[in-house]
Amino acid sequence: MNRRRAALALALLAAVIAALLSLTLGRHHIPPAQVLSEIVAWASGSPGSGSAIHSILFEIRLPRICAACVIGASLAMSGAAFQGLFRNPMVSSDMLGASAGAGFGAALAILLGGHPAVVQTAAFACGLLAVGVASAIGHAVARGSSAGMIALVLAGVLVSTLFSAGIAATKFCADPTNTLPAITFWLMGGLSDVRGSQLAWLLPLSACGAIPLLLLRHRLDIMCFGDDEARSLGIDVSWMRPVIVLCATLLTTASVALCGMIGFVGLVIPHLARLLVGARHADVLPVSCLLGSVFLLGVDDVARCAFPLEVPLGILCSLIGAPFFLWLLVRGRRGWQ
Amino acid sequence: MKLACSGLSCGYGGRAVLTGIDLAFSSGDALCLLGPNGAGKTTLFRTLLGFIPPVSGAVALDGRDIARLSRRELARAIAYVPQGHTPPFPFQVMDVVLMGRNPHLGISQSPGDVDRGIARDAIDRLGIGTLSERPYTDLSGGERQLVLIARALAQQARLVILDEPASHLDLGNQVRLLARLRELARTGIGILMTTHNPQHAFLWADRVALLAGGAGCQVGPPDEMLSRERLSVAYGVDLMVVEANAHGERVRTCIPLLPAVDPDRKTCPR
Repeated sequence: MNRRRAALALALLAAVIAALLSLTLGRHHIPPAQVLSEIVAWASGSPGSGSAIHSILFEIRLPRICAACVIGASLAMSGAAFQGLFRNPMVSSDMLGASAGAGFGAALAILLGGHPAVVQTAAFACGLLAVGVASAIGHAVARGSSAGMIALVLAGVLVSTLFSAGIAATKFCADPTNTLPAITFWLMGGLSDVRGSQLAWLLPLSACGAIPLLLLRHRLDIMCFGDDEARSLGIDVSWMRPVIVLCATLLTTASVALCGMIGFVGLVIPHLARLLVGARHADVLPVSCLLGSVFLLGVDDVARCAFPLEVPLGILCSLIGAPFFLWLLVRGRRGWQ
Repeated sequence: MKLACSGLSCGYGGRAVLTGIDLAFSSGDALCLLGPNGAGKTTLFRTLLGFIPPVSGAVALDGRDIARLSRRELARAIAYVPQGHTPPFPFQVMDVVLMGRNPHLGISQSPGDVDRGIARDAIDRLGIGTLSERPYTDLSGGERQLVLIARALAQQARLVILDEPASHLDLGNQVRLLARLRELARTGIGILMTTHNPQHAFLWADRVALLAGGAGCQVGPPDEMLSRERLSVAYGVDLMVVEANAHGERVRTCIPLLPAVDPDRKTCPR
């Protein structure tokens, strides 16, 4: 119990420190003391010192950092929920086709010359559509038999493949001088365009996914034991499963629609969380959220600052995530045996 | 509390595997559902638990059709102990037993101190107190089975259905498990256990439901159901039922017989 509390407190501390540190980092370095004084000034309602630093902090960095926190947390949490629901530690947050669907929606919208807001909406809608189609196929194939989970996983693979083909087709049709690079760049993922207005719809959508999952944390534990046992323990699986899929999908799709295809967070972070606090979702979900935030903040800082040109976040996530996952594998398999 | 069905047909996708099942078991019963592989034991108990709908007929809990009861209501009355399995994540034993409290909790409610106390009692009743902090995934098959039974006790259901609880255990653990289950039946919990091993029925059951291909389900006292004729037909092999006197108590068991070897044949039969 104490170990769990300590891990949660440490993760929270790490997230706060990472967020504050990220505020100081960037092309224009702002010393921590000045960041703090700006925040204090902002909180107390006074206009703050220099207008340039103020606008860098609050109009560019803060929205981006908030987005990195929310997206990291969302992807990690939906990954943890999907892993629990599918009883499979190799499952990740985009397992039912959310990423491929969102990518297709965005690519199509860019091809048709959509405004950035339209691109985001199309990505979100197609992400939901992909998961909806996968769920419908899984449901139709299984028809109440005990193979429901496998049918759903296979349907997810199928739908992902279809939408990936759709992305490729869209790229094929795109103009190689302008829309094709735009599509490619969107797919690689990044947070450079995030502004406060986008947070305004990311936050409520993520909350709609996260709050029910947190409330259902104990039921999620039971779902790890399979449908029959969940039923015998008083859970109506026929609605619990869609509710969890819907919440996790909202989290993934809202994130991916804003930042492009970012992999690995939803696979790696829940493992790390389980290694630290054990299997209970009451611990895994909040710790995954915090660690996901820390991870994506860190990677985004590297993306922003390490190179003269900003590196797409999706590339870095996989570049940093894969060796990290390897380390976890070698370190010990305690997280999922 | 009584779970009963009469004229029940069960199977998958509208195709009946078993028909004309008449079965009832109540609190305090020790009922053994015996049958060879593929006889339909799993289909029958999954129907009794409401996991699959009956093809025709109904299962009634105290006279009420279980299809009309909510999962929560059903779970407070009937607990299910699956075959020992490995979940993918290392839950602690205490957490697994606490899951038994779920049907007594609200949809987003966490288990509280009272639930923790009930879970601890269940763990103590099965004598696995030393395991409560261990990861469930690290336990042996026999220990896991005891944890799952503790979970059923924490569920405070009056009826418990166990699926092949002893099939993966060594002889000592089989006997210890059957002894625990007998004690529980004596405390007023109704226990239905499926098994493909007649020894378990001989040792343990007050009543036996014998499932044998084509003959449907015959229910009766062990002496009547576990006869040489019935068992030979059910399993399709020759066997003998023998009696022994153990510390003044009559015990019965069966000994399977291999087909006689033809002395003229020198090579192994293919």
